[in-house]
Amino acid sequence: MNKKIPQMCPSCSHRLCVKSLHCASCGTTVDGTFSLPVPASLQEADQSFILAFVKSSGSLKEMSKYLNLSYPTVRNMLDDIINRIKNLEHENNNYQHHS
Amino acid sequence: MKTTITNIIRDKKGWYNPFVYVAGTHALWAGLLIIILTSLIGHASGVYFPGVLDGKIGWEGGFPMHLGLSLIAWLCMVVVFYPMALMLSPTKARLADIAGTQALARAPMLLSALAGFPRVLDKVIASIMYRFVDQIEAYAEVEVKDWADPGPISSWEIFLAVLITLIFILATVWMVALMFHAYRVSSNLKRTRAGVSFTIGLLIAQGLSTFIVFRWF
Repeated sequence: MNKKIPQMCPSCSHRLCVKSLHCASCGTTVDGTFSLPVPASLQEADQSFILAFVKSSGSLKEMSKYLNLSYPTVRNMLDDIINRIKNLEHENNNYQHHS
Repeated sequence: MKTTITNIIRDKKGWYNPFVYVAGTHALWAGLLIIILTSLIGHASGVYFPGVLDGKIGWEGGFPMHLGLSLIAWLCMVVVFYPMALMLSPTKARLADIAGTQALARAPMLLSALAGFPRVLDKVIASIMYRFVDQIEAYAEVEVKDWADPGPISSWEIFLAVLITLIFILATVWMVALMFHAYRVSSNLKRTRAGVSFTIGLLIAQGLSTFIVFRWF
């Protein structure tokens, strides 16, 4: 089963952070407070879009053919993702300042 | 192209926002083809489009005149909305997208052009006008009308005239919805910003097209 990383707190709806990391090879566990990297904080659909975009060498025309959508629709999707990335970066900066 | 058409038909929103699937040069060629077809049918049915939102009946102009009016209506939208999109859009809007989607947005006018074929509406309007002026003449004891009585109108003709008027109104509403989504998708504007700028732009384009047509004739 492909488990998804939960991103939002089910209790207060704030963004979750990483509390511990575990080495599957030697069993070492590192505890701390780590923020998720921006690409991992994006929704699954956005992550898939970014992967497809990189695979098509950053060509929006190729992407529109691949997704069967018009060029401006794909460009608008990319613009929306850029805005979400900017917001996440802003949130991460704020989080680092506060912690 | 086949996939695009299938997607538009399958998508419930495809009827008022096909631009998620088609834009740019594809939309431009399809739109221009529809404008030419609309002008041809309008030339045969007597329907013409002397403004962005105008569809009128009962004119026997030549095909080039019909085509010219439809092209003016389309170009006025492009001339107004392209600079508007460049000014307001967070990303650079493409001329091909604005021109193409706005051309395709005029597709419902094909219905209006077809609706003119029964040739009833102009007769009903002429008859109503004749009787109206007749009553004024009788009341004011003057004679102003110099045209022949178009004759009585049957209830079937009234029914057809109402039906044609409804088709004209519905086709115009549909076209405005298409124009709005064409602009929204091409410029990546959202919510209030898209709605307000579209309303202002539409009024300017309508005014501009009416002015050009008025000067042309």
